[in-house]
This record gives sequence, C-alpha cells and structure tokens, in this order.
Amino acid sequence: MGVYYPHFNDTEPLFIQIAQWLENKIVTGQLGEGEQIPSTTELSHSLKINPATVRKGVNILVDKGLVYKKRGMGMFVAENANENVRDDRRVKFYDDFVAPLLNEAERLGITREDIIGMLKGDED
Amino acid sequence: MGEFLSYSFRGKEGLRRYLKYFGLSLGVLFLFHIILLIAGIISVNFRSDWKNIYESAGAAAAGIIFGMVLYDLIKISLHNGTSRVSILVGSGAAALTFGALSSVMIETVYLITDGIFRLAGMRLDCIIMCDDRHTWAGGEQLSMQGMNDLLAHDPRFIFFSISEIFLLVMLGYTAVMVFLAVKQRTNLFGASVASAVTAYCYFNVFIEYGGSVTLRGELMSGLREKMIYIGEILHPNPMAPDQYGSCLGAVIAFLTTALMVFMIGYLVYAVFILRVPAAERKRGVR
Amino acid sequence: MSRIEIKTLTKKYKKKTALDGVSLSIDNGMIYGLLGRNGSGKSTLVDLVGGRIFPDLGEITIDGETVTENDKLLRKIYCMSSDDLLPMHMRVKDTIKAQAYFYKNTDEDYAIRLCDVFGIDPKKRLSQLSTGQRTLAKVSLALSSGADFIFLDEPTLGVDANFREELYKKIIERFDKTEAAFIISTHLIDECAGLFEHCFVLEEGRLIADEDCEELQANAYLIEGRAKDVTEYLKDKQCLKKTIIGTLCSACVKGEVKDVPDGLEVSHPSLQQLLIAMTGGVQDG
Repeated sequence: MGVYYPHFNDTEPLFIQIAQWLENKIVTGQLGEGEQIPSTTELSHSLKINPATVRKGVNILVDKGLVYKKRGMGMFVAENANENVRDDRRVKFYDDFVAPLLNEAERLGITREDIIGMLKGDED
Repeated sequence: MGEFLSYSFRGKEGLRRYLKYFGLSLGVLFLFHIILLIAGIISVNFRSDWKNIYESAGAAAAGIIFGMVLYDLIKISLHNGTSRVSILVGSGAAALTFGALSSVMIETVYLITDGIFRLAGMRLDCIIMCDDRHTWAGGEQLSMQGMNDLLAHDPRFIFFSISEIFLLVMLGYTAVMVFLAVKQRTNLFGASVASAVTAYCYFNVFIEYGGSVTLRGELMSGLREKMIYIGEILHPNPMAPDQYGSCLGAVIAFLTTALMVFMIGYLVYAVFILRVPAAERKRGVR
Repeated sequence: MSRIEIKTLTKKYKKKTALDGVSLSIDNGMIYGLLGRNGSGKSTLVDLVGGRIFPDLGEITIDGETVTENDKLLRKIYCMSSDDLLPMHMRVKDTIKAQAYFYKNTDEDYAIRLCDVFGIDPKKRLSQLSTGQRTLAKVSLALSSGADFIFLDEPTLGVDANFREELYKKIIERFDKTEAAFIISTHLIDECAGLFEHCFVLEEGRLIADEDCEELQANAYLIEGRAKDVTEYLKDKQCLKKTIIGTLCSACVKGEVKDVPDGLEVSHPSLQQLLIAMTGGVQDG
C-alpha cells in the first residue's frame, strides 16, 4: 500500500520538521541531485498535513538553494545540494552536537580528558 | 425557496412516502368495508345503512400521516440549510396540494366501495344530514332515499363530496400542524391537549357531524345559527332546478371553510416554526 | 475569495451563556481548528452559523450579506453536526439524494465513493450504522456538498484509528481540489494539529485565541525545575498552567523564551498541551 510514516513530533513547528526531513533525505542520498522531490500534493496527502505548512517547509529548502522549481514539472534537488547540506551541518555541528555533549558531560562530572579518552578508545 | 417544495413532491421522504402510508390506510379501510359487506350478507341485522367512515377515518389518517411526513421534511430541510420562511411557505403549499390529492383519493375509494355495496343491495351514506331540529327550505319534500340514490353517482355531487372531504382533511392537517408546532415547545401531553382542543373547537364551530357523533354544547349555542346557515348551504337540494348553482355554492362554501380552518392552524404553526431551534442541546455537560 | 464575518455573536440560555460576543472571520481556502472544552460553545457556534438556532445578539455575514434566513447564503455553508439531525430511518444513499435537492453542487458519485472508502454500505439506514459509521456517513455528506464553508463538528466521534487516517487524507484531498474552507472542531487535537493553519479557541463562550497555529505555539513554552526556582522565574511572566509534583514544578508560560537560568529546563508544548493549559484552571496538583 505504501503508507509512509516519518515520525514527526508534536512540539516543534511542523514546517521546520518537514524541511529537516527532506534535508535528511538529501544528505543520505535517498533524494539524489537532479531527482524530483515529492510534490506538495503528495506530501500533504500522505502525511495528512495542511498543504500550506508543507509549502512553507519546502520553501525553506528553496531559500537555502537546496531545491529548485522546474516550470510545469515540480521541485528538484539542486546540484551540490548534498554538499551544501553537509557544509551547513558542519557549521552547526558544534551547536547541535558538541555543546550539548559538553553540557551533559559537565552535569555528570566528566572531564574533557575523559571525553578525549573515550574518543581515542573508540578509534582503537 | 423552491427546494423544500421540490423535495416534498419529488423526494423519497415526501409525497412518495405520504402516498405509501396513506394508500395503505385507505386500503385497510377498504378491506374493513368489504368485511362489513360480507358480514352484512351473512346477517340480516347488519343490512342497514352504515356510515361512510372514509371521510372521518380517512381524514384522520391523512392528518396523522401528513404530520409524520412533514416532521421529517422539516428535519431534512433544516439540516440542509433552509430558511424558516421557505419551510413555512413550502409547508403551506404542500399541505394544500397533498390535502386536495388526498380528498380525491378518499372520494375515489368511497365511490368504488359504494358501487360494490350497491351490488349487494346496501349503501353507504353519502351526505351529512342535518337532523330535524333544523329546518330546510322545502326540505320535507326530499326523501332521504331519493337523495341517496341520486347523489352518489351524480358528477356534481362528486365535486361536492370532494370539497366536503377536503374540509375534513384540512381539519386533520391543521390539528396535526398545531401539534407539531406546539410539540417543539412543550411536552407530548401539552401538544396532545393543544391539538385535541383545536379539533374540538373546529368540530363545534364548523361541522355538525351526523347523528350520534354530534357534539353540541351550550357554549356553542350562539354559533348554531351559523351552523344552520352553513348546513343549508352544505346540503343543497339537487332536485331543484338550479342545482348547479347551489351545488357550486356548496362547493365554494366547503372550500372557503376549509381554507379558513387551515389558515388558523397554519398561523399557529407559523408562529412556532419561524423560531423553532433544530437542535436543542443539553445545557452544561454534553 | 469569500469570507464569513461573525460579529459579536451571543446566545444565552436560561442558566448559561453559551456564546458571549464572539467575533471572528473565516476565509475560504484555509483549514481552521475550532478548539475548546466541552460546553465552551463550539457546537453552539456551528449551529448558529448553520441557521439551526437563532442568535440573541450579533450577526453572521458572508461578504457583507446577512446569512440568517437567507437560503442562497445558507447553502454556501455546510454544517455537519455531532447531533443526529436527519431522520434515522433514512438510508444513506437517500440522504445523499436528498442533499442534492438543496445543495445543488453536491457530487453524489463522490459521496458514494467516500462511503466505499469508509466502509459504509449506502443501502443501510442511519439507524443501522454504528456511531463511527454514522459520523463518517455525515462527513461524506459534508465533503461532497460543494459548499464554500464546511464545518465539521467532531468528525472523529466513534471512528477507529485507521479510518481516522483515511478521513484526514480525504479532507486534505478535498481541500486541495476545491477552494472551500474547512472548520474542524475536535477533541483529538494533536492528531489533527497538522491539518490546521489557523486556530480559534473558545472558553466558556468567549474567544480566547484567534491565531495561526504556528504563532500560537511559538508564543508558549514549558519550563521545568525545582518548584522554588520555577516560582521565582514566573514572577514577571504569564503562567498559563502549573503542575506540581512534590518539590518539582513544571509550568506552561506565555510569551517568547527568555532569561532562562541554569537549573531550569525549557521545552515546547504540543498544541493539545497548550490548549489544556489555556483552558483549564491555573494550578494542578
């Protein structure tokens, strides 16, 4: 039947979650460069989300230059979109992952040396 | 404006349903008459005139069934975005047309039954008789027998009869419409009382319904003159030369009386229908 | 573009004011959530718009013309009520045919297709259907009516989870196809939150929120921590609801997140949690 259930939560704005979900698809290669992304209609009908909300989410990707519109055909993944998302996430890596890690470590009394040790141990 | 009427006539819950149940009722009454006929053949004591109950039972059935159908029509049209005014006007038009149709149906069934009874040497009575406390202009010359023999099959009388039945049907309809209207605001008991009172008043004011079913209280004594006057118009002498004229006069009298009767009930109905809420919610906790 | 304007709509009953001076507007081409507790006036509002009851004060207009007692305008609106207003002995297919007499743009074939999707036998009588099936039959009537403004009052009543998914899908499909406005009143708020663009929140007959859902959610957050710390934090803030568990406390705060000290955690409420906070008492536990 092909019912698709990405897990969206109740607390973050839906349009942002939709944008991030699409970005994930781009970064993991599930949506390749030059490939067409699901249309607003397909997304809203399958996800049971208001089309206006879906459009808003897709527009975030348009603004970031990750997708573009081909007249009369739909939305397509831009060239280098994969790269761009990676770059974008690299920049945000510290705020999204490292800072929370350091905060949690501080709460638990784990020192930077301990963390480096963990990382090294992982390498071996 | 036209949607309510259109559905009343063409929709499944309108005329079709009305005719189904009303036709069934007339069928039952017809069967009842045939059974009486058979019983009459069997026992000599039964061989007498008996009342044409199509008029009274038929009119009562017409009223009740119309009420049932109208109630559902109101529900359906209110649910489908119809203004009260449209429903009101539509109900009136539907009532008059259904009523006319019903009167013709009752008269038809009556004629068929009367024909069958005559084959068995019996007859149904066919006019409302005033008793001898009233006076006719030259009424003594009329023999009941003669009148009865002529009247049933006289085409002029058929119109006369239909309009008389129409009056009774309208009485039934208005009683029911008053009932429906009042029911919205009071409980079943209150509504039953209202329609019984309506029926009683009409009975006394407009109709003296033959023999043992007469209801005449002192309250209505002032109206007896009116009854006599209407009685004379209602019971023309078909033997007289200008019988067309008096018969036509009688028909007009019946129809206008029917409309008068109807309008009063219709006004009561209107007052309630225009403000009746379609959905009464339980206040507080749902 | 068409718009319903509701101005200071008031409806009073003997013991209770069901609606108190509610004013709002509804544009076509949007999906609205009509939210609030039982008895807050949602159904009364829908009944008033649908011409089933009369207001004591105020008016309802479409593009300037009053709707009350106006057949033409009443037919631009379709109200699906949670009450059973049609004769129960009617068969589903006959309710569809009847509707077509009044709502001339009714798509009868579409209605039958919807019944098929929802597992309803059109030959059955309304009285023979389960609560959920009856709700879905009424929704099918509403979606196929061709009206510009479609009000759905509790379209999920008695409907199982699978059919609810189908229902939401059908609403979006129909919304996409036509320019109609959908106004959905429901208690399953989080499930339907994705459908709504704009929300109306009623509380005891009064309109306490009239905003886009996003704005509504952006202007509230949850704060958690030691009761002492939370109370201190809440001093200059508007607290919608507080929950106390022992020495701990969590509160729903109105406004944008600011000045959160260490020791307090910030998170965001779901639409349902926000609604509960907005419409309940302030203290809990």
